[in-house]
Amino acid sequence: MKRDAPLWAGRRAVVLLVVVLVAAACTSGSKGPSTGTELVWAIGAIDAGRNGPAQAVANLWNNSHPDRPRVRVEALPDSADEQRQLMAIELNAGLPGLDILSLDVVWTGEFAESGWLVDLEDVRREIEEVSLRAPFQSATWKGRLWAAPFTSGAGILYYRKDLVTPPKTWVDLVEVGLEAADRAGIDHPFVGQGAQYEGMVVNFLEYFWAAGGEVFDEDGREVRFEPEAAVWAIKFMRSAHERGFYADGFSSMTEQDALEQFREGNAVFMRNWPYAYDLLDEEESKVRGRVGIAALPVFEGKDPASALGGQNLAVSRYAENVGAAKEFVKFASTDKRAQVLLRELSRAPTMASAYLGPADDLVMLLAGVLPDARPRPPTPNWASISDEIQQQVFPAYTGDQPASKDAVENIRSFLERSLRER
Amino acid sequence: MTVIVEREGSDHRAGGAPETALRRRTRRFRRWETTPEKLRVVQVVLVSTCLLTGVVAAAALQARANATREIEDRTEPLAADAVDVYRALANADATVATEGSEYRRDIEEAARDLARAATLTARDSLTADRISDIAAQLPTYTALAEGALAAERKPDERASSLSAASSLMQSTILRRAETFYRIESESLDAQYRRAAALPVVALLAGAAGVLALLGAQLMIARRTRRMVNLGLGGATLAVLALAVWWTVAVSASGDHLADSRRRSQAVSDAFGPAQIAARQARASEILASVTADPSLYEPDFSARMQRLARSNGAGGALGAAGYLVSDQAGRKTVTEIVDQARAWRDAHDQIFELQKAGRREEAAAIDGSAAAFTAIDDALAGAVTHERAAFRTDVNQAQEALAGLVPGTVAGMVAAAAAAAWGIGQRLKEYR
Repeated sequence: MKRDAPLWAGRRAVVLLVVVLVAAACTSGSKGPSTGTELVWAIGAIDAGRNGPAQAVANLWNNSHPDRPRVRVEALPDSADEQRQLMAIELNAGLPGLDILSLDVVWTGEFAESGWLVDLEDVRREIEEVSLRAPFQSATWKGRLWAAPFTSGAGILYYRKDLVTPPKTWVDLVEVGLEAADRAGIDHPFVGQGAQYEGMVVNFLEYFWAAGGEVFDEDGREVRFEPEAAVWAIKFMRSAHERGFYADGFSSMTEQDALEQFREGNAVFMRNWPYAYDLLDEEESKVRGRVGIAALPVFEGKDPASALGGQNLAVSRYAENVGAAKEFVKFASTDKRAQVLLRELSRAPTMASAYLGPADDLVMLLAGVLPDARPRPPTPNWASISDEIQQQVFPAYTGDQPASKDAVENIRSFLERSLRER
Repeated sequence: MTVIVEREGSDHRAGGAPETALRRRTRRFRRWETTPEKLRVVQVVLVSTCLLTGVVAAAALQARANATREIEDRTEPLAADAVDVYRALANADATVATEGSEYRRDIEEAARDLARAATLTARDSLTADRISDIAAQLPTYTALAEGALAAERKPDERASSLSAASSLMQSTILRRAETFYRIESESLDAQYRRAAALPVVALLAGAAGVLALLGAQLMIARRTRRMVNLGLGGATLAVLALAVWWTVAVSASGDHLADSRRRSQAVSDAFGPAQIAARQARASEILASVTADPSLYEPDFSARMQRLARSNGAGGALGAAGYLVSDQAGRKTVTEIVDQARAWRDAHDQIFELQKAGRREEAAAIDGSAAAFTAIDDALAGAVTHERAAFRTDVNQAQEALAGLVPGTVAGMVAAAAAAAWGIGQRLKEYR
C-alpha cells in the first residue's frame, strides 16, 4: 500500500481495516526460494534395490545432469500399505525430508486432496504428449496433473507353457488348471493375491469388471457396484477356493508369495504384474524358459479386464527444491533412455514410444493389454473403500460368511455413505 | 442556532439564459424537497447495515467459538481415543502370547475407550459403525484368547487358538481401528479448518458498514455546511473500535488455536503413530522369538521401525514428532526416544543374527530390545500426556481471547446504529 497516495482518510481506514483483518486471519507464511543440492526419491525397496529401476534411472539423471541436484534413492518398506502410511505420517506433519514420492496409481486423489503435492500443470503438455493415456489419467485428479507417470502395468496371466495352453475364459481356466496340476503332480493349479490386502481387492475387481461391473459411474458421483456382477465375482472366488483351484495358502498370498511358488515350479497358472517376468527368467528360477504369458481370461461373452497398476512420481509440497524435483520427474517420465531402461528391467514404461522397435513377448503383450487396463476408481477415500471390500469379500470367499449377497449389500451401503460423507 | 446555508452550486453559467421563475422554483423544490427524503433513506440504510453487520459478525464469531469448543469437547478427545483404542488392541495381541491373562487389561482399556468414543459420535456415522464393529468383535477375540490360555497344557490347541485370535485381531479388528483413527484424524483437521476459517462475510459486512457511514458523512458535508456529524462520527468510531477489538482478539485466538492444533497434531499424527509403530514392531519381534523361522517377521519389523524412525529419526513418526513439538522439553524427549530406537535396532540385529544361527538361548539372554522398547513406550506415553495437557491450555486460551466479543459486537453495532440514526435525525430536524 502506497503511503503517500491521496487517500481519503475514511477510505484509508477501511482499506487498513480489511488489510489488518485479512492479515490477522491468514496464519500460514509462504516459504522463500530454496536451494537443495540433493533430491531424495522415496520408493519401495524392491524398486530401490541395486538392480531396481529407480537406481538405474537416478544414475542416468546424475550422469547426464552434472549441473543439477543429484538424486538419491531412499528405500521405503516393500509393502505398499507401509509406504503409504510412512509417507502420510511425514507429509501430514509437513516434514521436508522426501522430495520425490513414488505413488501407487490409486493414491493420486488422496495425496492431491490432502495438499501434499505440488501440481505439474506447467510441464503437463510435455508429459501428456508422450504418455500412454491410462497411466496419464491415473496421475490426474480433478482435471489437474499431480504426478508424472513412471511405470505402468496390468494384471497378466503367467502359465507353464510346457504343461498347458491357456484357455480364453476363467471358467475353462479352472478346469484346465485342476486337470494339469493333477496330471503333472504340481501342488497348485493357480496362485495369485488372496491375502486380505489391496492385492486381493485388485483380484476381486478384475473378476467383477470382467463380469460387467463398475464401482462408480463415470464422473464418480453415483454408486453403481452392480450386485449381480459382484455376487458373480465372489461366487467365482468361493468356488475356486472350495474346489482347490486356488492354491493352499491362497488366502495369505501376496504378489511376492505367488511369485515364489510359481518360480519354484509349484503352480500351473499365476496372476501377477509384469515385473515377475524378468524374475522368472533368472538363473535361479526353476521354471526358466517354460513360462508363457497371456492376457487375463474373460467371462463368456464379456470384455477382458485387467487392473491398471504402476507408479507415478510426484513432487512433495515440502520439497526444498521444487523446480529441480519437477525437472527430474519430467525426465523420468519423458526421457526415452530412461523409459527404455524400464523395459529392460521388465517394468512397463508409460511412454508410448518406448514400445516401438524390436519387442519381446512381454512388451508385445503389454502393448495389447495396457490400452484397455482398468484403473481402480479415482477417489481420495480409496484406502477406506478398499478396506471395506477386504472386510467383506475375504470372509465371503474363504468361509461363506457373510453370504455373497450380504457382503455385496454391505459394500454398496459403504460406498453410498462414503460418497455422502465426503 | 441551526442556520442552514445552502451551498450554491456553480450554475452561473457564462452566457446562460436567465432562469425563469418556474425553473428556479423547480430546481429549489428538487433540492430542498429531496434532501430530507434522501436523508431518511440514508438513515434507514445505515441503521439496517449496522444491525445486519452486527448479526452477521456475531454469528460468524459464534460459529468460530462453537467449532473451537467442538474441537475441545469432541473432536480432539475422539482422535486421541482412536489412537488409544488401536494401541490397546495391538498391545493385547502381543501380550496374550507372552504374558497370558495380562492381555485382559488391554481389552478392558480398549472397551472403555470405545464406550467413551461411542458417546462422542453421531449415530449412523461411519465412525459409529466402526466403533460398534470393533466392540462386537471383542468377545470373539476374548473367547479365542481365553481358549488359548485354558489350553496351557495342550500346545497344539493353544497354538491354533492363539493364531486364530491373532489373525482376527490383525486382519479385522485392527484394520477397523485404523479406519476409525484415520476418519477421526481427518475430521480433526476439518474442524480446525472451520474454526480458523477467515470470516469473509463478516469482514465484507464490516467494510460495507464503514463505507456506508463514511459515504453518508460525505453526502451530508456536501449538502450542508456541517462538516462533522457527531452521530455518524461516533458510529464510525464505534465500528472501527470494534474492528480493532476483533483484529486483536481473533488473531490472538487464532494463534492459540494454531498452537493447540500443533499439540493435537503432535499426538494424533506423530506420538500416537509412534506408539503404534513401536508396539507393532515389538509384537513382530516377540512372534519371531517363538516361531521356527524368525526371518518371516523381519520385513514387518523393519517396516514398522522405519515407520517409527526412518533414517535415525529424520523421518517416520518420530521425525514428524520432532517437527511438530513446539517446546524445548518436547524436542529433548524426541531426541531421547530416537536414541533409544537406535539402541533397539542394534540389539534387535544382534538377536536376529543369533536366532538365524540357531543360538536361541543366547538370543533370549539379550534384553536390549525389551529394555529399549519399554523406555520408548514410557517416554511416548509421557509425551502424549504432556502434549494433551498443553493442548487443553491452548484451546482454552483461544476461547478466552474471544470472551465478550459476541455481546460486544452486538452492543457495539446496536450503538453504532443508534448513533447513526440520531446523527441523521439531527440533520432531518433542520428541514422541518
